[in-house]
Amino acid sequence: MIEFAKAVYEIVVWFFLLYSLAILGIYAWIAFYAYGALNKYRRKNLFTDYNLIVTNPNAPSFSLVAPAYNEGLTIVENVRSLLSLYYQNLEIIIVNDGSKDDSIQRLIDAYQLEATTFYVQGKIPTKAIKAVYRSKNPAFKKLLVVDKENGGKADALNVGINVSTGDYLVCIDVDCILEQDAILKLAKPFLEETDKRIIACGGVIRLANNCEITDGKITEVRLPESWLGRCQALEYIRAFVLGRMAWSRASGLILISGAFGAFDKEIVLACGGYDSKTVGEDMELVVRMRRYMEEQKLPYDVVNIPDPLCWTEVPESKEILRKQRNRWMRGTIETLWKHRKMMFNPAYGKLGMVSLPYWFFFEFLGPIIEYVGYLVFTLFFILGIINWQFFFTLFALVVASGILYSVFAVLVDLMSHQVYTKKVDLSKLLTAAVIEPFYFHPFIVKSSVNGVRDYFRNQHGWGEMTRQGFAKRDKEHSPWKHLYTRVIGALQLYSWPAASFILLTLFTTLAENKWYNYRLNDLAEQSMILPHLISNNLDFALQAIVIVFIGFLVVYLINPIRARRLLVVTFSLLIVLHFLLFLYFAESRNLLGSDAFIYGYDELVHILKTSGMLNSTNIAFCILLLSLTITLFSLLNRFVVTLTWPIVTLLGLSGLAFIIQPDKWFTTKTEAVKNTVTPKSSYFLASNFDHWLEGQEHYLAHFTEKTGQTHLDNAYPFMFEESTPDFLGSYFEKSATPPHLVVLVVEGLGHAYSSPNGYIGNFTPFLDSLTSKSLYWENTLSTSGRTFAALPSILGSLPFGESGFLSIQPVPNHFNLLNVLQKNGFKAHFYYGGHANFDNMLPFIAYNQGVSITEYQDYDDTFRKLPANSGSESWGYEDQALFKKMLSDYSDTPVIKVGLTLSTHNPFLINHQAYYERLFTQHVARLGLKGEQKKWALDNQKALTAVINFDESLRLFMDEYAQRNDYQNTIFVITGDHAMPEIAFQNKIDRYHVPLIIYSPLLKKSKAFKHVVSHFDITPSLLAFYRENYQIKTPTHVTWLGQGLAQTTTSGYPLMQSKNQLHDYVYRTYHLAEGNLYELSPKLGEELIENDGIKNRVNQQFTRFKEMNKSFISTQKLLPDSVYNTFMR
Amino acid sequence: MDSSLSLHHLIIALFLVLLLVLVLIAGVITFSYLKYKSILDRKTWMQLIEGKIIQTVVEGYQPLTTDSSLTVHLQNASFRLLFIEALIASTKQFSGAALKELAKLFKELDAQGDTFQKLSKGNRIQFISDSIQGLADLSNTQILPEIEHYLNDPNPAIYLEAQYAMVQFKGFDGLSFLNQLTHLLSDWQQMRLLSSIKHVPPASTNMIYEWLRSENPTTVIFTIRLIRKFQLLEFYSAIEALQRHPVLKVRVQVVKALQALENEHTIPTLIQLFQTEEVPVQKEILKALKISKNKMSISFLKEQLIGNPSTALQVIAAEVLLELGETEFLASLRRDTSTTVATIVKHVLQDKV
Repeated sequence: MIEFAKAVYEIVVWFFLLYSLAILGIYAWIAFYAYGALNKYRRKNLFTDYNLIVTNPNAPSFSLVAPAYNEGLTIVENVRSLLSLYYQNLEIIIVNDGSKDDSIQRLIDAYQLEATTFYVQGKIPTKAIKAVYRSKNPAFKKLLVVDKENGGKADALNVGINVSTGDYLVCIDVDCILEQDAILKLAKPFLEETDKRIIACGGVIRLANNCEITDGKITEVRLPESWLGRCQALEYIRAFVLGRMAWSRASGLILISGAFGAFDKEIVLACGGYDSKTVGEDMELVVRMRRYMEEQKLPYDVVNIPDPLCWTEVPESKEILRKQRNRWMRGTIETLWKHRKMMFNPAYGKLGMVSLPYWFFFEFLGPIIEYVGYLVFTLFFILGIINWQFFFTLFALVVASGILYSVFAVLVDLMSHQVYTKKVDLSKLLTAAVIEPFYFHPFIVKSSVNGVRDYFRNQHGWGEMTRQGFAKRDKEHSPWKHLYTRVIGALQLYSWPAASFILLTLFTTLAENKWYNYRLNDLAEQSMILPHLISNNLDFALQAIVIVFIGFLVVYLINPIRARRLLVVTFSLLIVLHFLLFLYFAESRNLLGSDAFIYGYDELVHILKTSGMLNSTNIAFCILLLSLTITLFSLLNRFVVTLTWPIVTLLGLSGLAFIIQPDKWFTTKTEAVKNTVTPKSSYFLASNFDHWLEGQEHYLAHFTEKTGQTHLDNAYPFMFEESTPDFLGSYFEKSATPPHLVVLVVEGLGHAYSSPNGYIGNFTPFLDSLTSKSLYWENTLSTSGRTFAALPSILGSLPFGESGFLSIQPVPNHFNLLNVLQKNGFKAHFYYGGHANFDNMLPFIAYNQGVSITEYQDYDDTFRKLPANSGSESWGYEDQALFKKMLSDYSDTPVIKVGLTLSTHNPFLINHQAYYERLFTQHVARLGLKGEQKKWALDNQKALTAVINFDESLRLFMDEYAQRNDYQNTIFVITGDHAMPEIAFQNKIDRYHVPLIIYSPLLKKSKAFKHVVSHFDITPSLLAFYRENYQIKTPTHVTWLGQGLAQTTTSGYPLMQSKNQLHDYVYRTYHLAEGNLYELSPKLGEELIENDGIKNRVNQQFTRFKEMNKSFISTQKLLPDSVYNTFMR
Repeated sequence: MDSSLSLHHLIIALFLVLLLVLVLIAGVITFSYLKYKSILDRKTWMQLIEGKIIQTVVEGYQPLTTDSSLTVHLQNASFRLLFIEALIASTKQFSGAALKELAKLFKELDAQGDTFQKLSKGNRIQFISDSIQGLADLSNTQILPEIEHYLNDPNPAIYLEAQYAMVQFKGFDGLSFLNQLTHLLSDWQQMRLLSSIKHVPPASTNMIYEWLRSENPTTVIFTIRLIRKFQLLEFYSAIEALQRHPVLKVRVQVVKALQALENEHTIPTLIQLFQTEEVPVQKEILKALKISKNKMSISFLKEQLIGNPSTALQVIAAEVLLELGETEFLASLRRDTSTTVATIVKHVLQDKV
């Protein structure tokens, strides 16, 4: 997980880095390309004589359309300025868009207008025209004023187009001031067209703020007085002189400013004029015109000329500027969405493959990504995971590049147009270039992001309209129709999130597979994993969308808004859960189920910290992932698909997912592969649901018992009269005093790598040498896949209860090795290198009063802790330290020492790693492993190196112990708590397959046993041994789950894979696992079999145990107090 | 590679790029400052140059070397270039004796003959074509081979200027490039060429027929415009024969030319043509009838006003009828306020509301 989080952190950083570099690259291209375009234009037009157009009968006619809304204060002057434009064949159309002021009256008075009948030839739908005015004065014969109902700028422009008669249209804002020769210069590109039709042409717009204006003409150019205005002046230079010129040269221009642009009227009419439903009508029109030309397969071009032809007033108030940029962004989104079909569509040439993607990735996503960048930075800053050196370098680079771009724009403008030539203006522009990244740019980003937010809130054309439609229908229809309508509404709303959830599940599945390839490289059948993962996860996703829809529909019928929120949260959490679960699995090789909720808070924190998963990077990753998914689903939640059949079909097909079981299709998988391809979210949710159901059953059982309807015959079902035979006595010489007992429970010591018969090989050479001198049960089963069950099983042969005996508080009265031997005069010690409170071990040990406990805080600086990954905690002290502590206690009186090791725990970091890695290498060579075995060994080098470390420390421990006086009278019991899940299992039983060794100098002979025993059998046999050979007093009634280490015919072993996951039961030579029956081989391999008779028999045994366990869960008592007290008294 | 090592390398790489960017900023600012200085210089120079040009026009040519304020700058190539540019601009304002005086100024200015070489190729040709005749006393034999060579240049900026220069130098004969013209002639270029041709020599008939048969539609359009401009009546039949030309733009120009060359057959021909043509040509026919003011077309126009399905054509028909004095007829139509025709008529008559 830590590596994954690190990878994600790096991906985030690299994403921003690469995005920044992409922007820098594009700006560099724009700068150079625009420079070339400007030079070309300047050279071409150095001696151009525009008078040629003025007098020429072949010059085209232009219609200038200027919509006006509440421009009464300036409209007369503005029209006067337009009337003075230098172009022969020009009509000026002023469209009063339902102004509430006296604009129209002022025009009537100033230009002697009179309303005349006007036949409107254009057919673009618009709001109604109230009147059309012409002037009585021939001096104003060019002027046409249209008064219409208010319909917005686009609608007013459409009216202007409808009444126009020119070949070309010039659309402007009425408050713009045009250069006298503006139309002449705009006309030239149209006249120059040859093989490509020029469909639109724009010119450079400059800022009129603070300029001196006389008679509607700019007489002195000055920069705006405010920095807000100056930054905009700079922005306009960059946009028009560089940006648009570069895109124009590249034939990729899709924006001609609404303030000033000329269009081929024939194409405009063919496209249907401006779209009055969008707020970005200028860009939308150009895109639509280009789209039309592409679809008609007509060669065309959209050009921009660098001459400053139009002067406009820009907002110098932040509030107005905010609104303007908000609107621009909404317009951009509307256009991109409306023409999404063309995105990355080669049929639309540069428009589809370059221009629109550029606008999408950099103009639309740019502010969003930058904004997210600020949030990510804040998050990383709070979590303290910023590499400041990197951050400042990148930040300085981005800012400096922005400044360079601005300064370059000023230079190019100076060279080509010489608008701002005063020293003071240039100084201010250069200063603006420096302060703009800190002052103006963040403001624009924020306004643009607000635009995105407002766009999705206001729902132009999707959500709002649909909801209004529903509201209307609500009134008209019957309750059933109303219900039907709501269901349809819910289905339509559900379409995008459901489809996206499936897509995201596929995406996370790919990430999961990639991560497994990286982390679980020892897995067999790697190539099979991806298809299995996809089919299983897809199966889960399809089931999930059905279940989620049912919940969504119910809530939607009550409260649609809450339902939508719930949908966002649910799908987001499911995606994040998937990520977390597969990362957990890759780290632990365990499927996380309801056991996740069994651990206490402190334990969870401890586990996460020691595994390195609980660190700021991972938390940041989770928050980031959750934020992204919530954002994504929130956005998708706004889209309503008007068709219902796709989602109905999808839900119908998803229903099949409940019937089809893709995991049944594959039969050749090993246990490890099977676990790997299991859909983790499905397992987690099903496990928790089962656990919840079991809880309800317990409650019901408890309830029914109380009402007397059913009850167990025995209140203490596990209690029986002690009769375990002494199996061990015959193998030992009898000593004068009861032998000392040393029980070593070795973390993760599985059979697979601690025995020459293991499927990986023998990586415990010393232990193996000890085996040959010991009593050795090769086929021993631990009782769980985790440590939590080891101590109760080994020391007390105790049942699990709901989620392990250790989790039951207070500890129920019971007998175990410690308290029984203590009762007989033994001193008891427990040794652990970590925190004994973990897994509630401490209360369990401390329950046996008088036990000396050595744990984490009892080690001083002379002992070495296990290393930890950066940012994570160490599990505790190494095995060498543990053994040293165990050797430090000496007593003449009999003693029982229990030690639980740590060094072989994930993450398998040990001291002197390099040394043990050398030992590992030598050992692999010595073993002469080949083929698959060698591959497995090398793939698990880290874990096996830790095993070698343990083996080496055990050798030293035993050597040192051999020097002690008490050695000759000591019995050593060594076993593993479970097999390491990190090393892939071949079979399900491998998880529990551990060695059991009983060694003592008192042994008469060594022997290896082939029959299956379990941890449950150790204490009964040991106490029987002491009882029969040393007259140790043992309880008359006990609650052992084991029957001793002798071969029995009735042994049945329940196995709890993880806390509260009681799905395995071994009975004789059969293993019942999650409903499947396996037959165990003599070497404890297993094979799936179909035998209902045996299965029922095993099931009966298992059920019987579960019922007994349930009874224990409900009473939390194993023994009557009298039995316990009688013995312990 | 160790991840911290790669991050370290990345930071170094970014830092180096940052340094480069900072150096570029410093470079661009320095260059901007120099450019600013040069703009100031140019403004000062421009004042001097304009003063000298005015002086030359008013007082006659006086050698540049006699003007001490100019001599200090004459060694500067940029100054000389700016002077030449100003001279070129001034040729459009002056003619006759004034131009001759300015030509002397140019001759002195470009004594080395290398100044205008500093202009770009396209601008140089433009310079030649715009001003050489007025300013420079260079013979055609020196210039023409170079310009003719540029007619085949692949760069439009160059071959367009070469075409223009050829016409400037040779007049109508300069149009000979049309014989093999494969590029399309833009309207702009056609306007420039047409404006440069002052007369059409009588011996050009065959060449014009040839161009009218050209496969390049812009050559045909240009020729029609040429015929129209110079009222070359002998080509009426040839123009008429182009009525069925496949290119719409050509047919539009045919109508315009027929109107310009109008004879007694023109109106019936246009009316007949109207029936089979597309709307743009029909519009042009109606406009031709308007210019013609021939009463023969009245009944046809009335038919169009009342019965043509295209309202755009109805509007033009009404406008032509008004032009032909059919006010009463139009007034009679506007009584029925419910019809489109009535609205169109009111529109044309500009009835007050």
